[in-house]
Amino acid sequence: MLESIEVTKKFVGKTAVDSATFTLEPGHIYALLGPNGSGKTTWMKMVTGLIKPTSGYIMYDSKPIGIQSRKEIAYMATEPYFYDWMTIKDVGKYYEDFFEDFSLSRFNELISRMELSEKLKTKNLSSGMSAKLKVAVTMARNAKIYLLDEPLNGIDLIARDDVMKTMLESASPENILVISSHLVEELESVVDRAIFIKDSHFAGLFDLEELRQSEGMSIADKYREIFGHGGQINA
Amino acid sequence: MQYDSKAPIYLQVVNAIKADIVNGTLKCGDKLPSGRDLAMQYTINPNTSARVYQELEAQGACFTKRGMGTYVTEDTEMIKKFKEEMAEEALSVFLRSMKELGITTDESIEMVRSHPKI
Amino acid sequence: MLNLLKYEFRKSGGIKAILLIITAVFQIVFMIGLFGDFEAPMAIGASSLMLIAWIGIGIIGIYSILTLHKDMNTKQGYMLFMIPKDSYRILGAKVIECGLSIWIMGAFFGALGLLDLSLLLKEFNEIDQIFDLLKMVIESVSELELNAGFAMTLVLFILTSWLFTVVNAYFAIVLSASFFNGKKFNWLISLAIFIAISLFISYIYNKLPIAEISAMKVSTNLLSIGFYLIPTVLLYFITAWIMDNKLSV
Repeated sequence: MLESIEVTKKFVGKTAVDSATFTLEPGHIYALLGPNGSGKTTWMKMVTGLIKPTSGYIMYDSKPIGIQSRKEIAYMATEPYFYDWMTIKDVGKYYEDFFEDFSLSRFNELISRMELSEKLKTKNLSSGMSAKLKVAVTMARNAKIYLLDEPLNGIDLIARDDVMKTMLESASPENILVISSHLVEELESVVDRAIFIKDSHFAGLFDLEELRQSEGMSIADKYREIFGHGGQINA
Repeated sequence: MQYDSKAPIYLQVVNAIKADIVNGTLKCGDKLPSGRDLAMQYTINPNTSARVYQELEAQGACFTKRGMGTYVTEDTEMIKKFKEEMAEEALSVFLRSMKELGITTDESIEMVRSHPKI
Repeated sequence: MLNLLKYEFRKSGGIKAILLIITAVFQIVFMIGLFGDFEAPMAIGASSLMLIAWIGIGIIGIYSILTLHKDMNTKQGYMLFMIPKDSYRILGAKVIECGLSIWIMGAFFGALGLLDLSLLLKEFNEIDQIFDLLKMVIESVSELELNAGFAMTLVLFILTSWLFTVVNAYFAIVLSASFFNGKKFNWLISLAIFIAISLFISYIYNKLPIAEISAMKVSTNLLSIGFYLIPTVLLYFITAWIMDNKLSV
C-alpha cells in the first residue's frame, strides 16, 4: 500500500506538487492523469526517492520511503537514461546485478518480443527502440509498485498493444501499477482507477467502471470535465 | 475488441462471451480461460475480468468447479433463453432505429425480406 | 559494493586504455632511441614519459570528477540513483575506484620509470656517477635521506593529496546539485567553495612542522599522508550524507 500524505515539492520559483494526499491499494492499475507540468513526474520521482519532498511523507507499507523501498518499487522515466557505453545485454546484466526481483529470462523474453537484439548499443537505438527497452527492463522486475511515466510514448501503434499486454501480465492482486500517460483512450480498458493531478494539486481518485455505470462517463470524459479547455488529450 | 468507453466494459465482455455461447463458438461445458488469461485476451484489467465471470455466473451462463476453473453452462434451456433475450435486444434496437427514420413495422419487415443475405 | 566498484571501473576503462596506449608509444620511442643510439628519440621518449606520468594521473582524477558531475546532472544518473544502495556505498565506490586508480597508475609509472632508469644506467655508466654526486650534494646541504623509501612515500603523499582534491571536487559538485540547483552561477559558488577548502587545508598543513622541506623523511611523509587523509574521509562522509538526505536528481 502506498500513501502520499500532504506531499509537497517546491523548486526555485515553482511548486511542482502541492499537498498531494491520496492512497493507492494493491490489486489495481491506476492511471495518473494531468496536463504537462502538472506534477505527475515529480510525484513519481518522489516515490522512487530520486527527488526528496520539501514537506509531507510518502509511506510504503506503513514505512517511509527510503533506500530499501527501491528494492520493491520500479520506476520507468520518460527520458532515455541508460549509460551510453552499454549494449542491451549490458543493461540487462546491470539490472540483474542490482535488483533482486529482476528476472533475466523474462527480460530476454521481452527483448525478443519487442524485436530488439541484445548486441545493440544503447546510443544507437532509435527513440522507439529505446522506449521499448525501458519497458522491457522495468517489467522484467517483479516489483510491488510499478511507476510507468508515459510508457506508450514513442511506441508505434501495433507495439503499443504488446506493451499493454506486457503490463497486464505483471499485474497481480499483490502489486500496484501506476501509469501516467497522455494517451488516455488507449488506457480505458486496462486501468481500473484514475488519479487526476491539476496544477500540482490532487484533483480526485475515481473507480472507472463505477464512473461508467453511474454517469456514463469514460476516462476521457472525466478528463475533459476536470481540465476543461486547458486539458490536452493526445500528446 | 473495441470498447465503448462510456459504458461498463465488463458488461461488454459479458455480452461478447454470451454471444459466443449462443452462436456455438463456445460449446456447452467448454472450459473458459482463467481470469488472467481473459484479461490478456480482451486487454482488460484483471479486476474487470473477475467481474465478467461474476456476472456470467450470476446470469447462469457459466459455473465454477472448485480448483478446476470456469466452464460454460450445460443448461441448453438457459442458452436458448439468452439467445431469445439477446435477439430481442437486437430487434428492439433495430425497430427503434427504423421508427426514428419514420419507417413502419411492415415496411421494415419487407426491407428485411428483400435484403441480400449477409 | 563489489558490483558498484565493477561499474565505476568500467566507466573509466576507455580513458585508461588511451593513456596506456600513449605510454606504450612513448616507451617504444624511448627504447628505439636507447638501443639504436639515437639521441633525439631517447630524449623525446624519456621526457614524454615523464610528462604523461603526471598528466595521466591528473586525467584520472579529472575524469572521475567529470563522471560524478555527469551522474549528478544528466538522466544517466538515474542508473545510479534508482538502485537500492545508499550514497555511502555509491560514493564510496567512486572514491575507492579513483584512489586505487591513482595509486596503481602511480605505481605503474614509478615502476616504468625505474625500469627505464636502470636501462639507461646500463647503457651509460657515467649517469650512475652523476646520480651519486647529486645525492651527495643534496644530502650534505639538508637532512634529506634520498633512498627508495623516501621516494615512494613522497610519491604516495603527492597521490594522496591529489585524491583529496578529487574528493573535495565531489563535495563541491554534490553541494551545488543539492542546494544551488537552478540558481544562477551555481558553478561559481561551488568552485569558490572548492578553492576555499583547498586553500584552507594547505594553509593548515603549512603551519605544521612536517611541512618543512628540510624535515622531510619517510616518517614525516607518512604523517603528511595521514594528514591529507583526514579531510578526504571527512568530506566523503559529509558528501554522502548530503546525497542521501538533500539531493534530488
